[in-house]
Amino acid sequence: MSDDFDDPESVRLPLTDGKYVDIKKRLNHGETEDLFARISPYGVGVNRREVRTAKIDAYLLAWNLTKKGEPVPMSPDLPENVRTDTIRNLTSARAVEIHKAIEAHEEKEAVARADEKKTSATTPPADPILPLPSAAAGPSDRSVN
Amino acid sequence: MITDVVGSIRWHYYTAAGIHGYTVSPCNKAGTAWDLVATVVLSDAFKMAQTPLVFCAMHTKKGLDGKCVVKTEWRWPILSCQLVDHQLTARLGPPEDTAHE
Repeated sequence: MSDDFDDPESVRLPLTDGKYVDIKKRLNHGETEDLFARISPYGVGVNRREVRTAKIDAYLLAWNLTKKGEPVPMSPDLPENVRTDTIRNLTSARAVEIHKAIEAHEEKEAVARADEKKTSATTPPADPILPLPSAAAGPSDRSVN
Repeated sequence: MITDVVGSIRWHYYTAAGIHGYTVSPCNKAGTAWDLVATVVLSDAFKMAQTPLVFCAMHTKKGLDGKCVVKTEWRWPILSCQLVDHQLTARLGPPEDTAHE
């Protein structure tokens, strides 16, 4: 049976030119809520400026991206505004590539989850009725009298 | 004994608690066990109940040239901890490899 709380896990997604991003394997409920709130703060319509940036920000843990050969820091410890500003200053091509890689990863995870559910649904549940100790142990020479 | 200001408690890639003011003192000469007393400013109750937790202490020092500032992070595994109000007391294991930025 699947667990109800995930342990944090990270996944490395390769990009072009030997670059990569490390992302969260899955978002938990709170992170998903934060993402929805950022994309659609009032629950009606979406903030088009935030859709891709917010998703990248929600998943991103680290990368090996550079500017003029120098590594550009990315970490969950960076202040939120620094993370967002850094993502917004990526080239359009790189940001689209990262977003697509994350979307592909999400789809893969969704399929894996669905398969996991199918497997657990077809597995017969364990017998909830425990056998009597006497039946399990076979004939006993112990007497209650 | 190490006394400083900025630190955090981590659970995997999450920050389980932010720390503003801490003291770490060795329990023995070998440095295999340490005591932490810290003031917690923000914490996530669920994450603080998970394992493994790691105490991270940020500090800056001058580089070998005496000019550039090097950011360093000391990390200790938390063996046990207790959070009462905003006061955290914890027993730490030996420090892990230092991370440089």
